[in-house]
Formats: sequence, C-alpha cells, structure tokens
Amino acid sequence: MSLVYITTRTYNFVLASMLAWGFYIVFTLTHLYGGTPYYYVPVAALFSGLLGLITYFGVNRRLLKTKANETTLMMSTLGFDLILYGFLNVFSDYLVNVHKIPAKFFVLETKDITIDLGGLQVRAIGLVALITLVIAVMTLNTFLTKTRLGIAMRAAIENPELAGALGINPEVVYVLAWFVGGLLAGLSGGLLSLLTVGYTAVGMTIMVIFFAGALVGGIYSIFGSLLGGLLVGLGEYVGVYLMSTYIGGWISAYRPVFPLIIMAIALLTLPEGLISLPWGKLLKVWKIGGVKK
Amino acid sequence: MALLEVRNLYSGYGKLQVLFNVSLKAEEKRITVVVGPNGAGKTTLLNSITGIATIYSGEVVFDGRPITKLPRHSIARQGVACVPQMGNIFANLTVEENLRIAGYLLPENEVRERFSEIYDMFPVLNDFRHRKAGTLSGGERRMLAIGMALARKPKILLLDEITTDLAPIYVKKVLDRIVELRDNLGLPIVLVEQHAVRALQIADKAYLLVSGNVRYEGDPQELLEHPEFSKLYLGVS
Repeated sequence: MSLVYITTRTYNFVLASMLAWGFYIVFTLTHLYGGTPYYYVPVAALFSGLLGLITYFGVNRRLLKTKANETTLMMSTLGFDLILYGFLNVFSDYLVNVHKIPAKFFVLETKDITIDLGGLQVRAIGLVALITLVIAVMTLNTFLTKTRLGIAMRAAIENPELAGALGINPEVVYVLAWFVGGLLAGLSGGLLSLLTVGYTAVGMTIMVIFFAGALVGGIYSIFGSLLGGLLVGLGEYVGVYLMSTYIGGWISAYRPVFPLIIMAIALLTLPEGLISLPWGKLLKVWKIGGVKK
Repeated sequence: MALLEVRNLYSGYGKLQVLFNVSLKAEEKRITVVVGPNGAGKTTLLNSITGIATIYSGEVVFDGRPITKLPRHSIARQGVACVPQMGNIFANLTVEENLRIAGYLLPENEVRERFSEIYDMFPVLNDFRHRKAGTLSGGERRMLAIGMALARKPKILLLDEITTDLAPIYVKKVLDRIVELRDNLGLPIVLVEQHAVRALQIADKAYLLVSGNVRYEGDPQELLEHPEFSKLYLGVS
C-alpha cells in the first residue's frame, strides 16, 4: 500500500481484490491440478501483479494525467475494486456451477504439509510464511538500495522533478510500484489461503489489517509499513489471546476490531507512524544502556 | 555555431506569462551568464529550456534539433544537464547514490569511472561518499549537485543561481570549479546568477534580463559599465 501511495499518491483499495484473487488462484489450481498449494503461490503473485498493471494503465494513469486529487484517486480504486470483486463472484459461481467445486467458502488447511521438527509436528505454513517474509523484505531492501532501478525508484519518490531532469522516466517507477504492490498482495493472498477460510469478500476483511499496518508503521515509508504490518498482525493475535484469558473465549469473535483499535491508538499518539520515531537516538540510548549494564 | 539556441521565446506558467520575445545563444566551450534582478525571469528561462515551463511560442534548439515540445526526461537524454537552485540533490540518498543515479542514462561502469574524476574535482564528496546528502552543508550540497550534473557526461551544463546563500569562500570555490569545467573539459555552461559582478568576471558572453525582456546581449565587461546594469545593481540613476 505504501509503495503505491508514495509513488502515485493513491490509497490502493484494489489490494483487497488482488489478495482475494490470490486466494482463489491457489484454491482453483490446487483443485484442478492437485499437488501442494505452495506450487501455485507464485502464479497467484504474478496474477495479482498483472491486476496491478491493469489497474494502473486502465484507471490510475489516466487520472494522474488529469492531475486528479487524492480523494478522486482513492475513490477510483474503490470503484475498480468493486468491479474486480464482481468478477471474482462470477468466477466463484462458475467454479461452483460448471466444475462443481465448492468455491463459495473453502479451507486449504488440510492440503498443507506437516513438518517434523525433532518429534514436534508443525504445519509448514508458519515456517514458509516467515521465510517468505524475510526473503521478500531482503529482496525489496536489496532492490531499493543496491540496484540502479531501485535507487532510481527512491529518487523519483523523493523528488520526481529532479528525477525527471536526470532522465529517469517516472512512468517506469509508477508501473513498477503497481506491479510489485500487486505481486506482494497476491503472494499474501496465496499464503493466507492456507491459514484462513477463503470466500469472495476475504480481501475486504484482510484489507483492514493492511491499511492499519501501513498507517501504524507510516504510510510514507515502505519499511515502516512492513514494521507496522508485523506489529498489527502480532498485536491482533496477542490481544485476542490475552483478552480471551482474562475475559473469556467469546471475545475472539471480535478479533477484526483489534487492528482498528491499534490503528486508532497509533493515529492518536503517533500520527505519522512508527517511522517518525527518532530511531537513531533510541538505538543509541538502548546501546549505552546496554553497555552500562 | 551555437550549441543551444533560444529563439523568440514567449513562456511562463499556465496563464502567467514571464518571458517576452527572449532569444539566447550558448556556444561551445563558453560560459554564458544571464544576470538580472529578482523576478526578471532567469529561472523561467532555464525552466523553458528544460521542459518545465509552458512555452506559448518560440523555439528551443539544441545541437541542431528542436527540443521545445519534448518532455523533461527526453531533454535530459539529449545531453542537457540542469542544476536547479533548490531541490537539486536527493537528501535521503547517500552522496555516492546521488552520483550513481545522476548517471542513470550511462552504462554503470562508465558512471563509476567518472566518480574518480568528480572526487578529484570535489574531494569533500569523496570524504562524505557514504553520508546521506541531506546532512551536507550548503556549499557541499552545491558541489554534489554540480558533481551529479557532471556524472551525466552532459553536452551542456545549465546552472541556476548556484552560489545563492553560500558563504563568500564557497562562492569563490564554486565559481573557480565552473571555470575549470570550461577550461579543462571544454564544457559549455549557461550560468544564471544574482551575484552578477562575480559571475560576469568569469563569463565569455552576457545577457541582462529585466522583466522578462533581454535588455543587453554581448561582452560581459561592457555590461558591467552599461547604464541599466549600474542602475539595477549599483543604484546609480
């Protein structure tokens, strides 16, 4: 979300559909061709990356050229998201009626692989999701700091006019941002299909966590958003666990509210997100404290 | 023959017209200085050449080809390097990243080869090459901005008020480097300046721009004695 926002000033709500399509791509291909769902996660990522390009060229680019304001840009993504949501419903009905696949609500948990960790049987998704996160962050970091195109992207984000004067075509940066944004949404959707129930509106529910994560971390920072996403995700689970312990298990039905509470607290205390904290100073203080001990 | 030629240019921003029938020629291996008071249209002239301002009529020809209608990045690709007065570096990138990205249009190895030339010319950049550009002083930033322009191996260098807000010692240093660029690299330079007297001392050709009109074109030394120049800069009526 941050990547698209800082490049094209657009709050990208199409991410909801990109994510849901990720779910359905993995589910459909697993059903049709068998094997482990993990095989199809890259396909889901590429498909959603393609949806990102379609959104950019079909909607966003035209509006940017007319110098549309942020509200118009955001509303256009909401509208396009509803169109993609409609198509997903059609696709789901097609699977149900033509292929007789139960695609209205589905669970892929049973298709997950079990790993033996010294006698402890764990589902692979926990490990795969963690490894994917680390690889995605490292790849994104290497791309943005070591490659010429990545540095050009950061340059164009910081000062598009100067970047243009250096011969960097900002269009390349916008296209890349929409593609990578879609790719990561599809990747998330593909992996989440092994963790949670899939249905056509699943993206809209999870989108709340995406949005909260981006705002908590700092919408203007890619790495801040990653940090925010991690915090909101963890906070949601830890919050529900603690509340369930002290209040009762019924509270877990209100789990989707937790990211919103975290977001509200973050907006009231740190409106620009975690990234606005003086990290350099904090680390120094922490380091000095550590030495003293 | 002029490398850069502006012909009968009328330009501005949207409906606000700033330049009126302006013509200018910048020749190879020459420093062309454009002076004038605040609001004369000096920056708009550079913005018209680099594709930022709106051109109503007239023409900009570079290296024999019209560039009037080209987008900004295409003009840059022709070899026109401009160092704007403000926002001329990427504060969140390191010094080396700034130089690296400045040579975006050249092969990577060629840009890296140019690093040593740039560091020879501006040793302070070598010392701070891993520092974020936003932490540099005003003078160091200007040197980085010029270094970035040089990293692009430009055919012409346009400098907009490059010495503004600099301490006198840095003004001299920066102007000395500009002379070196002409003498050692043979680079044609268009220098837009408010420090008029110092700029005219290093110029080969001068223009005086007042209220969007060219009031003088010719020898820089003669401009120093021109009545309009004395009136504008020395308050002599």
